[in-house]
Amino acid sequence: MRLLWIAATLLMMAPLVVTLWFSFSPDPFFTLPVSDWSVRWFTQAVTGEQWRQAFFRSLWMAGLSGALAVGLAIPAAWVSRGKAPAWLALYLLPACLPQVAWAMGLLPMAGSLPEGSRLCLLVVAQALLGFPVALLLIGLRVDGAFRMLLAAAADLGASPAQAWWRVGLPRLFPAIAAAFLLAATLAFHEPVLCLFLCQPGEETLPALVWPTLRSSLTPVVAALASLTMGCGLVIAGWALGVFGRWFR
Amino acid sequence: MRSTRSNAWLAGPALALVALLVVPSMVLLVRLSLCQPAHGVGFYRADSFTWENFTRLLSPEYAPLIGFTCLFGLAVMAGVLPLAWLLAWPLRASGGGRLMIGLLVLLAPRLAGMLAPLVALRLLLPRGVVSAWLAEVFLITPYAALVLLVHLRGIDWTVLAAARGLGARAWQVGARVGLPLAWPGLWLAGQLALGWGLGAFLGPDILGGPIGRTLATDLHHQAFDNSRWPLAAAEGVLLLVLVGAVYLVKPFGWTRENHA
Repeated sequence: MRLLWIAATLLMMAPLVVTLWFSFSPDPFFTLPVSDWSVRWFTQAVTGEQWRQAFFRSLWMAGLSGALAVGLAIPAAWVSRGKAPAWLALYLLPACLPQVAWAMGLLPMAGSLPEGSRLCLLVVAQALLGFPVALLLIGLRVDGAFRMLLAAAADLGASPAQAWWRVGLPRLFPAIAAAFLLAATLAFHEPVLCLFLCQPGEETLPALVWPTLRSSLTPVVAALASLTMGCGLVIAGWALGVFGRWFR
Repeated sequence: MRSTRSNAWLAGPALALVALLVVPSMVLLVRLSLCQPAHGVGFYRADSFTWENFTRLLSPEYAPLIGFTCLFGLAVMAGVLPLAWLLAWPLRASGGGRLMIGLLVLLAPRLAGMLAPLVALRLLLPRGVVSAWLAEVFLITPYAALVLLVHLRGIDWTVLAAARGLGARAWQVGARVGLPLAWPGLWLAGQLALGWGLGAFLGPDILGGPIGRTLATDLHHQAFDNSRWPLAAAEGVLLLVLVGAVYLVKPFGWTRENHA
């Protein structure tokens, strides 16, 4: 079984390795074996104005989406109390819907919004996609012991706000940090809603890369994929590390 | 009473956002699917009403596309489930750092973004159904494995040893104890994989080529290349119906008690 697990893991990792390999190739066409290595595609990806703008746009939108997902997940985790009430299924609705159908439904809504506010709609929609992950992580921390600690703080004279601020939030912090980072990472990489809702000139990185990926693949796209992959994995590893250390 | 009210206040913001963003968009999608195309001015005629888009969608012209979409979804599920099982099973009893590393490995393909697997498959394979299928399997497996893992970790696996101790053979333990215990998790992971497989867009759009078209890619094509929003919306409604049907089916022998 362990061998099969290793084989499955290698299979899942193989595309990531191939992309990384290609992005360091000096040739614009992928030929094996790659004997020379170059960072020219990374330089082009980092210095290209439109890529850089799209990257930073994706970054701040992902940050806002992650923050919103966490802000919604903290009270929802408190209410769900480790159980799964029927209405909790509503929270999962955006993640379960076919994204193209949802995006198509959002399109007329976006059209009726004032100029420049499409990105706000996108931020909220992406937050709803990351919300189940945030709810799962924060919900794991809001357990019986957490509630007893808050009750103990209240018994010792703390007001509900003080109990939350001085006892609850510090204890929840690792889960909040992990949830924020994971929800933001998912929002950063989300392409379908961006493709439907972003207007020309305000594309996120996945929406900007999409036409290139569709028509002709260039090593610059591979370099961008490697960069976003590296960022995503480092942030996610950090998030899981923080969560794992505090969760023990 | 007070607790119920405060619960409503706490659960309210997320539910309100879901209600604000999902319900109106679904209503708009259905309304849009019942509009006439604009024929050059705008994207649809807002004051019109027609069943034309659904009639066209349910005609023999669209049967191959719908059939292929359903088959593609089933094939994605068939590819995802064994992989998800292989990735989740060894982590069912792990804890601490080992679990975190396992989770990172399990989620890595998704957290790395959709670009990396799509770039690699574009490099290594010719465009076609197999490439599109592989891409969707790569993108969906981490979620299915996570769902399966959450279920597997909630099971007391010492019953397997107990069954062995009572004289059951290895295959009997697997088939009569292990599988029934894991069944709800497998079912849920399968539903997710099938639901997302039916709505597959990324893999078929980038790697499918002309023969790998699904309802989702055709929706995008109709909306953005042909500017036929009503037909695209009708395709969206059909996708919703298909995926909704998948989520509404319950596993054999499912009751509220054994689910709890």
